[in-house]
Amino acid sequence: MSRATSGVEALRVEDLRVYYPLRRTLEEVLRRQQRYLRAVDGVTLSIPEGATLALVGESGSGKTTVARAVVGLVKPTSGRILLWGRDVSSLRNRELREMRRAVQMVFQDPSVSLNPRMRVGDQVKYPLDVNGIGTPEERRAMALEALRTVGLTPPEEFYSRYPHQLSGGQRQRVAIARAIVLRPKLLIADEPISNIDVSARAQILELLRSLRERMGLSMLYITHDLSSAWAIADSVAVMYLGKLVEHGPVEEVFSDPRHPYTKALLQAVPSLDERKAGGEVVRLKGEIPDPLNMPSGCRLHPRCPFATERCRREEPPAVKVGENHWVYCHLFA
Amino acid sequence: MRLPRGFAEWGLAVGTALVALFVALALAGESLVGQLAVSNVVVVDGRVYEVPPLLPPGSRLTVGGRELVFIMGTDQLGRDVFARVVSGARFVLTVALLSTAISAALGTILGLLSGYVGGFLDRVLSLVMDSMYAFPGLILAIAIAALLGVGVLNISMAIAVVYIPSYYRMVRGVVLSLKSAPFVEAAVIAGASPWSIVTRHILPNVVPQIVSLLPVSFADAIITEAGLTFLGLGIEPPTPDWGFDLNKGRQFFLAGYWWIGVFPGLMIILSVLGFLLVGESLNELLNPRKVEA
Amino acid sequence: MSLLRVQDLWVRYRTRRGVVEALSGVSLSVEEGEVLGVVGESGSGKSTLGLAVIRLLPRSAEVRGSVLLNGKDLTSLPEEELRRIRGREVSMVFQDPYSSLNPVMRIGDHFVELMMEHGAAATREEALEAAGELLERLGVPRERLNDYPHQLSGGQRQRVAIGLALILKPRLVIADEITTALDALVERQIIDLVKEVKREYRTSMLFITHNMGLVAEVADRVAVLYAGKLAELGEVREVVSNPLHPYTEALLRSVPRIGGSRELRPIPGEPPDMRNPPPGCRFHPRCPLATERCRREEPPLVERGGRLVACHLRS
Repeated sequence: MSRATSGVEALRVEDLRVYYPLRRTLEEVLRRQQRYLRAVDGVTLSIPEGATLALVGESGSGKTTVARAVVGLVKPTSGRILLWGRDVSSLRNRELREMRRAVQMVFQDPSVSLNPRMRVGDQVKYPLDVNGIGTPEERRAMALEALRTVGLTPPEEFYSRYPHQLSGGQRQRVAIARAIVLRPKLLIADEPISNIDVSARAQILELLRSLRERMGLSMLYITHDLSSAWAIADSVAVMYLGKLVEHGPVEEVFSDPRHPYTKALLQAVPSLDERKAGGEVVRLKGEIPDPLNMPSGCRLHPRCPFATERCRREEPPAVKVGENHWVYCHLFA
Repeated sequence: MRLPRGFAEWGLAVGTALVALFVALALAGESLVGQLAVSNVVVVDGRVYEVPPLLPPGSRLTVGGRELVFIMGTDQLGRDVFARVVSGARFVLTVALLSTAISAALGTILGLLSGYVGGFLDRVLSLVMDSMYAFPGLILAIAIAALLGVGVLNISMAIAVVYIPSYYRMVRGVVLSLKSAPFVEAAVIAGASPWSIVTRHILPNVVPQIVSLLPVSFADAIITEAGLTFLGLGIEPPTPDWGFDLNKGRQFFLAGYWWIGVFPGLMIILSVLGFLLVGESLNELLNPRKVEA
Repeated sequence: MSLLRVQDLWVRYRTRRGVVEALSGVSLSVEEGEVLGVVGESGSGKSTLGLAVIRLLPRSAEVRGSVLLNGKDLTSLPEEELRRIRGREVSMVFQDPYSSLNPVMRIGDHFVELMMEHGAAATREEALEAAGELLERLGVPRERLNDYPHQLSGGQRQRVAIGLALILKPRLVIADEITTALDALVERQIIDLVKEVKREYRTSMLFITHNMGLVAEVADRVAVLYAGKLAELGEVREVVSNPLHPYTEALLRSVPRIGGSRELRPIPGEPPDMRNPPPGCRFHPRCPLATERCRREEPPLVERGGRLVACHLRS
């Protein structure tokens, strides 16, 4: 499902690093040392206008930190974030506010991303209030329209309810309405279906997909659920411990994964179909290591069944294995 | 109307009744009992009579053809204990109300600032508040009351200072946890100003917690007020006041004139009990432990 | 005779906002050595079912019907006898291993306490020896017995919780969403472990989950619950490849399959408010095939080719 794109990049992240300083021990204070948690460590990715990129990984992979850096909730330690070709760090005041307005976010858990003491309609209207858009009546009308767009009909009835009076799926619709009411051009969806009920998941995914079509949105879809990435994304980027391991078109990466980590992730998905005999089975050893104690070389090497001496020493380069399909692994170098 | 069920509902019913009674006394008590609270002089048909001191409870006195009943007796100056007890509600409740309002307002504002702005301001405020919190409350109040002198506002300020840290600490804690709540982050992404975030997102979520603290700290303020006036601080005789009368009564207690002190003391206990019952049971009714379905 | 036989089980909760009927007459059985998957969304009653079997429901719950384990009715057993049975004959693993492990107790002490209380070990050393052996078979190094729960990774904690559920060799283990809180690769490891346990120990299991794919991998038969009632029950392979109930079909279709169609086919509507479930078939407001009859009459559970299904279209 590659849709026609104008060749403009909605989002480009260049060599992004986000390090968090750690609380120092007495010894470190005395020696004037500072250790860092390297949550994101040199990530480069781009989303063409109108396309959807799924950023997948397990917890601790840094995928959410990338999203938070893009919307400005965390400051990059280094690297650049470009929105429609313009470096965010070079923007000031009005320009920055307008750019920020064009990038909105849907959070993981709608039970905490909505203000429990604010009426649903007021929460959807709120971004319009703070940006001083239109008259109060116009704002109310726009909020009602947004509620209708996300399928909360009749919107007048939902407007005056409180979040606790809604189901999880409905709450996530409210959060989506709040994110689209400013008519953004890029939507960041951070695990939008992982905290809601099974039967509502497909509904929310379908809603995001239809909004993307109707509003011409570009989308960064963060998830740990590969099957939802399959359903919604054009391309996929896989992260492990703050770094990319593989990225490319969804069909290609999912049908022909190259990186051992991607393979293991895909094979881990519980399947309705009986497992096909044959084919190489990749099982990784152990669990994600402590990110404060990052492995040398390729970060996967302590768990990788194919690791060699070189993997222990050298960081793997980006290797092109197909049209727009890249893998960071010594096996292909 | 159905009967209350369980501790919380009974507590609320009894507490509300007590609170209502004391509020009514504070509002109307003085006009009900008239001059007898502050003077032992009764004027009937233009003639002046003096009420004898230390009459036991239930005494009757006929003056100028009118019968007066002193159900709680009279004190060492011949004033009606019942009248003093009834009109004493006004001073203590006014002080408790004022001091609770002042401490809640200041504590909340400081807590919001400290929690939301953070940094150096937070460190300094926390240090000051923690030292105040660690300091024995009554002693702090005594010091300030002695400094400020008599008067409703002064004694209220003295008590308020003691309770500011309770509000400050609670509000600061809530703000700190709300600051990173996704709904606040969503507001940040929407472009909201700090003022808008604090007033529309943080404050409305702090208010219920403040409200749950109010009755308890109101009861606390009553006790502290009684403690101060017991020591003769902040009040000018002959203003009727329970704490003050309790102390006076204490001097006569062993001589057998128990009623002078016991009735004001009882009022202190009942009023504190009333507010505590309301506070506790409201807390239980409004924040029930969740039952998993 | 079935190992576990749940007969006409009803569970009601009294809440502040009204009476919630979590289970409305569910009957099912688990055979010796069998894994029965229980699938449903939240509010389907699947977790209530697990808790009702091991009798851990809150006091506010009203229970009717019977739960026969080896012919003994657990619903009427005195508390004391129940304590002996819990752990020994039936045990449970929860979604969050953090909450089932005591944070101030070493892993080894969890095993020691459990085993000594049930007389499964005479001494501390004996208990630790047995625990170490079991943990190693479950993929946790023996040295972990000396650690506290927070020193373990999420996957290891869940393995320990499984170990605690298995150490007394119960005939039935209730597993309630045991992989939901875990990351994808760890989830895979736990699934593989459950399959291995099933093969090696031949423990019967009530495997509760919202994930049909998971059930397809580990269960022999599956019970699909909707709004407190059994919608369909049968062999997993058959149910997955040829669902008889529209809800089962919709549930299967709503999850995108990697490599399959990229169309999304969500189940329309919202799950019912269980204080006030819909009349007739409880699925009818969301069912594309619903008729007038579905709105009025409750469909009976009937047998169709070795499977049980509650749908008017099939009767």
